[in-house]
Amino acid sequence: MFNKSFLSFVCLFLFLFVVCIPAHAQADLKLSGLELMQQYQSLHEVDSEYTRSSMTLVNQKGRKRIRAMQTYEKKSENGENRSLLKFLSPKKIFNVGLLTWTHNGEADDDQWLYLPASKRVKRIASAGKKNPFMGSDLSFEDMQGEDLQAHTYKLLGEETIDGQTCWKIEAKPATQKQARSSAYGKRIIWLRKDITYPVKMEYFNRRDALMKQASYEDLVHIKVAIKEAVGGATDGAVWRHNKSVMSTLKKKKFTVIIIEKREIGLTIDENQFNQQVLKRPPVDKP
Amino acid sequence: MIKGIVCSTLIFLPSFVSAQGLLEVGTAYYQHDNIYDADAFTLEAQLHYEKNWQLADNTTLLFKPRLGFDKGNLYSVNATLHEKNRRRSKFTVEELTLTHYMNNFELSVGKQVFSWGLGDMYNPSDHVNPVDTLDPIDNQKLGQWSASLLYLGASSNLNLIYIPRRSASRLPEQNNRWFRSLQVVQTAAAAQLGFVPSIDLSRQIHHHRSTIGAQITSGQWLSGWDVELSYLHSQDATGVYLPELVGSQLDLVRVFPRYNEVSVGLSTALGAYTFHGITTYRKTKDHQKDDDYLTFLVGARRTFYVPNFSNTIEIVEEVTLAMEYVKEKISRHRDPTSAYVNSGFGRTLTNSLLMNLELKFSEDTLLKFGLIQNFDLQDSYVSTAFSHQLSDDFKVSVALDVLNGTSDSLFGQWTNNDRLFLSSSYNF
Repeated sequence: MFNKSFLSFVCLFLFLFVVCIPAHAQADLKLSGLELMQQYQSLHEVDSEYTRSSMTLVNQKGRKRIRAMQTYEKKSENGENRSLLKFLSPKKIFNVGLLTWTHNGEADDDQWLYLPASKRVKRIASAGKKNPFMGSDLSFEDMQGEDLQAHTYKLLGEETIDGQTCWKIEAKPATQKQARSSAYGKRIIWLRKDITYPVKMEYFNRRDALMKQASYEDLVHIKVAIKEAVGGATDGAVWRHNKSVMSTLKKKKFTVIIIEKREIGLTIDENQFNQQVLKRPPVDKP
Repeated sequence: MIKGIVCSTLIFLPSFVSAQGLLEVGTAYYQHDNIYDADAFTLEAQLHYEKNWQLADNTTLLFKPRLGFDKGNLYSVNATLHEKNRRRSKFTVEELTLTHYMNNFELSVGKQVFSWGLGDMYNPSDHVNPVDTLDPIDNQKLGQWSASLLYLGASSNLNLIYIPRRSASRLPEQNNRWFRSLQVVQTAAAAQLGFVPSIDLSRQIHHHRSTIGAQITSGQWLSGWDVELSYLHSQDATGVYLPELVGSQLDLVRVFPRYNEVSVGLSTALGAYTFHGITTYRKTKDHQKDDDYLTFLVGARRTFYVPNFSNTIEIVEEVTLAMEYVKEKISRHRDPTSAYVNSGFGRTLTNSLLMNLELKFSEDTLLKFGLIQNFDLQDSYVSTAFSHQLSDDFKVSVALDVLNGTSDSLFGQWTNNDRLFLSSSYNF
């Protein structure tokens, strides 16, 4: 029926198709939700990062409240994350700080809040992490990084967001403990396929009703000065969003965070992420 | 070049000039007459300011002055920060601190205020600074000239404090409506003497002695727990009275016993609650002067974010409830033959419940309810405050303080001092 040269051509074509298929398309075929999230973390996670941002709170009546804040984050030696957030303005909350030690898996994360008026650092209860952070639409748990061990991830399929093909992944608490301490029964994450970076997230309560929605915009590809500082980035660059909008749907209010300054690959000692340092006035990076 | 680099490592220090101020203006109305102060209305204003300079890459200077004014007798131009002054000075430098930051150490020298303890409302180990109790409901810590060395570990810290000449706490004197009645002392002396002596409080043994403190804090010794250990070698800031009869007058000489105090505090989060417990043991050097005693404190706090619980309640956004119970146990009583008596301002919470309830209606509007109930003498202090933020910087508040109890109890002696407040504050 077919001569040998034709069959050889078909085999060669199939071989070349498999070998030359774009990497993300291969992943498309094989990777699970968890593997995609792992890929996202390994591609974009860095050992340390500084951001200075503005947070605009817009209520139902359209009234705006603007806060300025800065965040330092560091991946500790055991792979867990530590972050320190400080408010710079308005004056009434200047130097209010939040310190977070994110632990992998079952262990509760540690979180402390510093209120300058009392000069005291207070531990925050894990279930209190469902509560809004400083009047914004973000809760304390939204301020923490994605804990892959504490959630299960299921690939639901593909969807196009703003002309970009995305993986649609469902994240659910993996344990009873996580389910109790989280306000969310599930989250739907849209990861852009070409860069494996989230562009949208929806948050559902335990009754499966949509509570909040986040979008991540103004994506930028950042070259990292110190390549060693990048966890898994193969090209010495990572993707970041410069704008995020978190909306609380029922209350018709939203919070916009704009990143004004960012630095990746800082050398910071772990001892700078402790409760005593949380009391110090904020640092301004040049 | 990144500021604050030592050996290429970033240190979180205030590397820019930060400045902020707070202006508070308030008026209080006292419903009842008071024999020590006839003014039913007070008008008070305080201007707080705080500025941080970076003097060098790793060195900062904190300057925190306060300017006070009132229509009555709370502030005076001439008053100095001395425990015997009946008034506060109009201008005070509350803190003035030079700090040098190194990678693992932080050295601070100057006038400083320290906060020890893991408690929410009351901290039995928080005695490094004396307090100004000219208004005991609104007492303020007095900054002390001191040196502090802080060692920063990855999860544990050690803080050493040295105060060469610590001052005493300031107690309300006889022209102040918060003056503590000394009727109990007077009656006891009268029974012994056969006549009622007049009382003079003007004598006082010099207080200025050194204080040494050490505090270790850790967030990782026990997973999920904060641990705080502290030691303080100091002189009681409130003091006790030694009655001395001079003619028909009883001089109450205020003396300040030296003591050693150790404290252990633990705090953790469990589910929606945070819990804390503190035990402090104080051993006074001279048993003629004071007891040795243990203070236990247990407390819990919970914040309810209402939309997580109810879809129907919309008026309240957040409810925070904090409660503490304090108990004192005397391990060795003052010598029974001792003539010393307590001033009444120290060790006020010996079997007491403290509660704080906050209802947050919105980011702008807050209602606070506070209670201190002493079970031994059945006296209490209840405060209710409503505040509203008109803008990010401007806030107005109205508050009511109610004091109950018998005249020999702490709060009961001040039942005439129930008051209504109106105040406003402006951040700039």
